[in-house]
Amino acid sequence: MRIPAPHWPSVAGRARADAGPLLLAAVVVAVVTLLAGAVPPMLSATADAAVRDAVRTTGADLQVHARMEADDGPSGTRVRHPRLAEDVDDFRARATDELGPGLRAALRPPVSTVTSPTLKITDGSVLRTFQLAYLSRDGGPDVTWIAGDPPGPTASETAQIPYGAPPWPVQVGLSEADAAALQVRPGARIPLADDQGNVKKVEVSGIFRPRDSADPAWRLLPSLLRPVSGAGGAGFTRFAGLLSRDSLPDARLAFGQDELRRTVWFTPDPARLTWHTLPSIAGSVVALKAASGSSGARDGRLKWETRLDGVLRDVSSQVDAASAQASVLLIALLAVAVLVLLLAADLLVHRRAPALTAARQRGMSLPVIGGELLLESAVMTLLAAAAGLGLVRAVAPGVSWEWTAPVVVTALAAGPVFGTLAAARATRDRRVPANRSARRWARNTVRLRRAALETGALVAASGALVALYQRGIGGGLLAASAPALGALAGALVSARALPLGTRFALNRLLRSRRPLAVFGAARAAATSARVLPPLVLVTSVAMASYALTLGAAVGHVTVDGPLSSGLLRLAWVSAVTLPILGLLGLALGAAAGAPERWQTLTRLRTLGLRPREARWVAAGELLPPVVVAAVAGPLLGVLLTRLTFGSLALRLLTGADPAPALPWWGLGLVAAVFLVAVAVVVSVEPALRRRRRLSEVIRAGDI
Amino acid sequence: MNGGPLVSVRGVHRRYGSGATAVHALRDVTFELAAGTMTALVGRSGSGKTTLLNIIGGLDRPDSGTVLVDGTDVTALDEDGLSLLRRAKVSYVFQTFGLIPVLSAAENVGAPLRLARMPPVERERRVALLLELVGLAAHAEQLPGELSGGQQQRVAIARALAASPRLLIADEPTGQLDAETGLSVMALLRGVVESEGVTALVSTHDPTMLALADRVIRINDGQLGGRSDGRGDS
Repeated sequence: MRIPAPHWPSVAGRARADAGPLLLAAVVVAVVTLLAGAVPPMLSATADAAVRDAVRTTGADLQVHARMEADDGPSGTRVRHPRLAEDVDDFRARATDELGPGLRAALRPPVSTVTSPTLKITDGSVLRTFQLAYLSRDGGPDVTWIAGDPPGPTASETAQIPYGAPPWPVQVGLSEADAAALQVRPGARIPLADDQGNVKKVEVSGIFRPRDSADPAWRLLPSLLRPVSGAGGAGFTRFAGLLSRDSLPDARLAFGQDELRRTVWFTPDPARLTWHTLPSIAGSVVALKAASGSSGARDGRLKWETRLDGVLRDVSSQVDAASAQASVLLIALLAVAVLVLLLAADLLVHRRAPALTAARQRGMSLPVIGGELLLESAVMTLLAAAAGLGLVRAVAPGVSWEWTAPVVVTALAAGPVFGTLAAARATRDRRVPANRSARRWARNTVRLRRAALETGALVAASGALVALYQRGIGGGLLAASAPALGALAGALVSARALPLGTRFALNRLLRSRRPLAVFGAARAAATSARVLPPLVLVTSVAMASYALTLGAAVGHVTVDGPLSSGLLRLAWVSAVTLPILGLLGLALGAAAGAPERWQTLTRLRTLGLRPREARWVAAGELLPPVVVAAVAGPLLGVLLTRLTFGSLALRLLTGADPAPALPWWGLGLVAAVFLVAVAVVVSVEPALRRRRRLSEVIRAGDI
Repeated sequence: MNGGPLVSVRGVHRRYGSGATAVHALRDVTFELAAGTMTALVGRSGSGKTTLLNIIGGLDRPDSGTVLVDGTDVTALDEDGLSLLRRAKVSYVFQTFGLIPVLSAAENVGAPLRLARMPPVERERRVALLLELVGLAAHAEQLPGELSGGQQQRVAIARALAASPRLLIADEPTGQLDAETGLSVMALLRGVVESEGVTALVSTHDPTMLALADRVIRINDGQLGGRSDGRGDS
């Protein structure tokens, strides 16, 4: 079947005639696409930075210990084990193998240490301690011997010594600083004894200088490089002697069977940690700890110790909380943007209804009408979305497509769908039933359908709140949408209450002597059945109030995390963007109602209404939904913060339960802006229409 | 005839557009209307009837010429002055009725009285009287959408009479009504001219309505094409 080609002059003509609303919709698409496209990658980058920062600042190393194999020899002797350093290397390799590839990739090359108990320096000085330490890693850390020699063996390779033998001699190297502080030279013996008073025979073989004193390996035993004050207790100064591969076996014999401590240190590499790899890494760490041998067990099993899982869990909770809050704000922005786009499409259909009806009556098929409208919306949407995403590329570390989808789809589809439905409705052969009960049935069916739809919205909002309460920030998108859905539900209730209120006000005013109020209320009563404008206004003000309160709560406490400050920025951006979207909604709603409003005002002008009085009547029509939004919006927003702040775990970011200090000035400002906007609209409208004479309006029946 | 001229139109010109495409809607139109009479303005579509009515009522301005209504130079008034003129002296009945959809028939009739700040009790009495006059007392609380076309036009006539205007301008008041209803509306207008002492200028192109007018003014291509007595002319 041949698909009819669009009538290009019609497509172009419609777009030219309605360039204003189309441009406005394009701006909404571009701005919201920018926000929705930029925030997720920015949040992800911020989360990565938060993870790295937490690991860097907490120094959460991963340590593994294992008891050394016994060196018992025959007949109550101990045997010198010349390949002890290779055992330490094997131990490090075994521990590395147990990590698993994911965790291993996130860690720096491991460093193994063998350390002695802390000894006292018995030269008469007080509060000086000494430790023997062996430090080993693939490829370092390297030292340069500036005096003497590296520590060497003090006995044949496999010497045996009986238990209770005199102290076994061992050689160590000293750093320049340690040697200077101890005032020793190569060949000197350091007078040492353990807690029980057992003398240790430790000789200085040489003095070294580290090739790279900033090598992270030295961080594990800083006393190897210089005396460390305060180590081991207040007033104490610790020194350390470096063991070599050759002197390590002697150190083993110089101490009791289990006195040397063998440890492999794994330090996380912040550069390799990301928010996305965090769950698998945390899971691996937890699994290691679960399989770890008991620290008190006297066997050779690996005993894992680390705070890394706790650090990762904490930062994960913080990122989850920040993500949830960011999702709340993004969903609010998207919800209001979608409503504004629906309103823009509604306005376009209002303006185009006569032309669409005429086109349909001339025989144009609905698919062709829909296709032409789709062409127009596709060009507008894709250009606007491309502009928004182009800006995202300039300002954000990546682009998120998923969050832009609701806005793009709405902008793409709303106009064509509304327009096609309007054209179909205008020409369908459905007559009003003559039978009164049939008319009532048809009316009730429409009401029932609408009630079902609105009940569905209320149920969705309740469900989202329940999900948030039950599952907290782990409740996913449904839980994060609770505030926006709550605002929509509240706005829906407000929108439904508005006709009752305006009708009540009209009935009261009819008894008054204020003609302008009566006519304004009459117009308000006539237009208050429209749901979309109050829905946009109340939702935008409510969520702007929510964002303001969130920003005030986060800002109230010290904002020192790169997560908290990011959330604060997003809250302020939302607090500004949401009212702007609301103002666009106000302008679109006013534009949609302008023809009817001006027809009524013109009729009143023929009765003697003055031009400036006409402005008051127009304000009377436009004010009710704005007043409802200005009053109900902030209250609804504050109520939603009370209902959801606890479950959204804001305290994880702020460090304390936020006591929402209500930003009354901000809430008042938002409300005031909308009231001022009404004044602007009623002042600008007459200026825009001043060229239309009353006679023309009366005759044409339109503006 | 009830006395001297209430409306005096002198040398009125009105042109739409400019240059070669300019349309001369009115050309040197001059006439007077005596107070308390009903005058039918007759002409084909596009002859300038509505333009002339709009200029007399202050809804439009002439390019040249003057219009005096009850001694007031309409062409010299600013917007506020024109509003006050319409509030106190001139009222309209339109082809499309021009009622306010959300107000009841009684409230539509009372709208000019509200603008005139008439006390509520007096206003309600006047509204009831007018609705009785146009035969819609039983429909006072109905909305315009619930009334037939003829009933809506009767409400519009009642509203036009509410503030006791000196001049009632009706532009094709029967244009959207069937012949029988149109005739009854014109008869109603004839009746209120006599009962309320108002001066009426009614445009129409329906020759059957002419018999009800005291006088007929014909307009053709923006120029007065002749005059005749209405009821006496038949």
